[in-house]
Amino acid sequence: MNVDLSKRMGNMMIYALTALLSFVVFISPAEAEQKPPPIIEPRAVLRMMDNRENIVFINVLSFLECMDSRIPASRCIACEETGEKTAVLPQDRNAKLVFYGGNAPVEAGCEIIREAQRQGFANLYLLKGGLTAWKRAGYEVESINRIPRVPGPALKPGNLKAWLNSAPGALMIDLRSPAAYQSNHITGAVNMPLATLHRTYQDLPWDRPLLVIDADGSRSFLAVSYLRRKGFENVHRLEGGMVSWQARNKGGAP
Amino acid sequence: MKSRSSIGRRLCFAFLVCLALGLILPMGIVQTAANQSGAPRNCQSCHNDVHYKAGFQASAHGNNTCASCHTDITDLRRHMTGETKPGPVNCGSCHRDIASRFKKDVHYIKQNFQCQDCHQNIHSIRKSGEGLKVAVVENCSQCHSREDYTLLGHSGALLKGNTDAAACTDCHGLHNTPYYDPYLERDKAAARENYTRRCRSCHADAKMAKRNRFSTKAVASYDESYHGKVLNIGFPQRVAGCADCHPGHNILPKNDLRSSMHPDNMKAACKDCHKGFHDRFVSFEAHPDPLDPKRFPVLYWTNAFMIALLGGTFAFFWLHTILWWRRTYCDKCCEGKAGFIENTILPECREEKQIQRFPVRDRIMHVLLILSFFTLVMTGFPIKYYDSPWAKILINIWGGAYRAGLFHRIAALVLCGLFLYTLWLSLQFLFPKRKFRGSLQRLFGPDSLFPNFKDVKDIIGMFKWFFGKGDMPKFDRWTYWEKFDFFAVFWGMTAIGGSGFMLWFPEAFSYLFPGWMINVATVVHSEEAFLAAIFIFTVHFFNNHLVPNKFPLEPNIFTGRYRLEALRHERPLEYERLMAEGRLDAMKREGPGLWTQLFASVFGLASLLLGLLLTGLIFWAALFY
Repeated sequence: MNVDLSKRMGNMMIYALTALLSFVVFISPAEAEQKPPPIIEPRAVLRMMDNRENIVFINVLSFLECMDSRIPASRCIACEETGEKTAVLPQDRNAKLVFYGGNAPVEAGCEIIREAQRQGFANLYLLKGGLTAWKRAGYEVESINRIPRVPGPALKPGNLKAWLNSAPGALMIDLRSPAAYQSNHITGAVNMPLATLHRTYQDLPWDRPLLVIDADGSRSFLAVSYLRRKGFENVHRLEGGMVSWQARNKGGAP
Repeated sequence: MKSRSSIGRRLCFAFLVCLALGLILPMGIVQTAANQSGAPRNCQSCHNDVHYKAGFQASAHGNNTCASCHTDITDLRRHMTGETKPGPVNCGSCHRDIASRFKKDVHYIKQNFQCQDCHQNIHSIRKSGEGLKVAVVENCSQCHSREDYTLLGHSGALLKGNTDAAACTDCHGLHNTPYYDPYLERDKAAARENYTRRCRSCHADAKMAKRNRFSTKAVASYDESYHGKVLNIGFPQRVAGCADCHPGHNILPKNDLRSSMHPDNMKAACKDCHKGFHDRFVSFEAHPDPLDPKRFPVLYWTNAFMIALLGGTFAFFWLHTILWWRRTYCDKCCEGKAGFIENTILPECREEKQIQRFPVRDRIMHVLLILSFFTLVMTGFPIKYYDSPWAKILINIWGGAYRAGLFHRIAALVLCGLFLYTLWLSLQFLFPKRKFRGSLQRLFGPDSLFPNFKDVKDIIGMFKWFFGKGDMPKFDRWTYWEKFDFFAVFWGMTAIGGSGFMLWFPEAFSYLFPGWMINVATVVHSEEAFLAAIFIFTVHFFNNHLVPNKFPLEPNIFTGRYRLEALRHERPLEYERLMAEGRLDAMKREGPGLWTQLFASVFGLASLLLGLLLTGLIFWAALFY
């Protein structure tokens, strides 16, 4: 009985070791590739800059946001954009790339970071707190093509249904990434990511009321201002974005 | 003559040249400057909108030229042909303070706003004067929904012309609206602290309250609640500030369904921090006033009872202490004058016969009691007197309010353990080997700590002795003040421990009691803490250590030994009883070792000094804060 037990235990040990070995050999490189870059404080980046290290900032927000306000000399490559944008990455593979977004943590699936990892950049960092932490620390930013803000009230999630009834031709535009849109969205909303809005806005109907929806209400103001500057007169935004919408409505219909 | 006239002509000519240079040349420069740097007249020839003409002249910036702000337009021709366009205006070159504050403003940090985004009418902007608050509301509500703010309350009063009422900027700041990162815990705490301070700036202002017929009690009562005290001591992370229970901008009456104070909505506010409570939890009063018998009758009478208990206990024992001290001091003086040497100043001799009074177990228990008690006092009283100057210093010694709270709870558990163990020992004393026979005799017997009729006689006898009307009563093993100390702990532990556990686990207790019982528990915990601490640090210290014939320390609770001479003198009945029963010889021991004596002296004196220091701090806070 005891011999059987010890034999069975021995076999189990061998299986477990084999499984562990195959995990280490086959799975871990892929896992390592997907590991997010370390987080770095704005102050630490500044120290590196003082030491004349080759730092390249990459703004992973939309092109519009990046041109509106960015850390000086940043490169604008939105998370969702790769393709031709990968050419914007520096030639020097030893350069230290510091990725940053708004104050929300940069999404784990940010494509341009994965691309940089694939291309063999060894020193990648995520800026802690993003652009807001940078500004909060009192460091300078630059505006290449600032969008003058156009004031206008936001629509509360509770009033959405009434508003849609009063504006039958209204079109809801979801500014989030296709992945976020796929996971959940308000019924009837179309996906037009903010990352490419500067190229796609012309596809929007000029004569219909528009409602712009983002993740948490912090990015739609700039999008509305941009569309208003481009000549869309009847543009609104959803206060608090999808977060506030979901807190109120569990379902998808307005 | 000729030469003179030629000189005159030359002078005339020079004068005319100077005049010409003085008049025409500057005109030319001005003209050039006007053409090249964009003086108002020239700019307005193209920018002929009313905003740039009459509106601008009457505006707050009317004394400036266009080029004062648009400094990058230096060549009018190039500007007119579109070769140069005006860049962003740097308002900070004049409005330096605002510009530096705006660097911390949420509108800049989160939305990259520039001055002109809010001040869209910058070319015709005027000083708002008395209408500033209304103008602020108008401006903010261009983007921020007005319906949140303008239902009732602040805005209602403001729009009716009451300039005391809060506009957006009174709470959120002007040009320095703080940014709080929702992903950072420390920011949430900072927001809570900031907005609570902002509310307080008006609602605790007596003059403003009088003008607007509201009561400042809301703030005062919040400050005296657990939420308020912990927030004020500098730990807003885990307690409710104003905006946690009064969220949103509309301050509506309690009976309005939209009000956060409506009973149906109150649960939602509580649920943000408290989980798993019974519905009756919401009857907790966040602004309790123990002095208002109409609104809070139970709280009022509990408070009255506690104050009476405090007053009665201290009145009796302080009087007792003062009279005792007076009598002993007189005796000592008389003895001194007569040439007697006080026993206690004789050097303690190891060879001197002593008896075992406290076993090691009791001594360890007393040391643990002292340590836990001091921990409780030093972590609890900074919360009770949060506004005293020493509160924050003391709380920081523990490493902040969170850690102090942790130590408070650990010490409370130690004390509870001691209490339960003492209960167990008492039961063992009463029912040794589970024998019930004779338990009554043991309960009222001389070895028991339970009060009996002799104690009443002793109290009377002691007062007679205080006034020289008789001898000091003969005591047995336990004096009546020692029995009081023992029973005070029993009462105190029930009151302070029970209320403490209610405050520790308020949600669980809501299944047993209504929420307002937490208010009652707060009063009991706080008042009982005062009673316990001050009683120990004054009455217990005096009766057992500072009384002149024991001063400065009676070490027997630490050494466990009692000098035979002291026993015969201070507890003659016990001495006689032990002699009669023939037990005395078995109890005789050698005197305490050097290390025991050293520990007893150092630990005992340190405890005494710390207790007296804390008494000073507590009285300072109680009397002046």
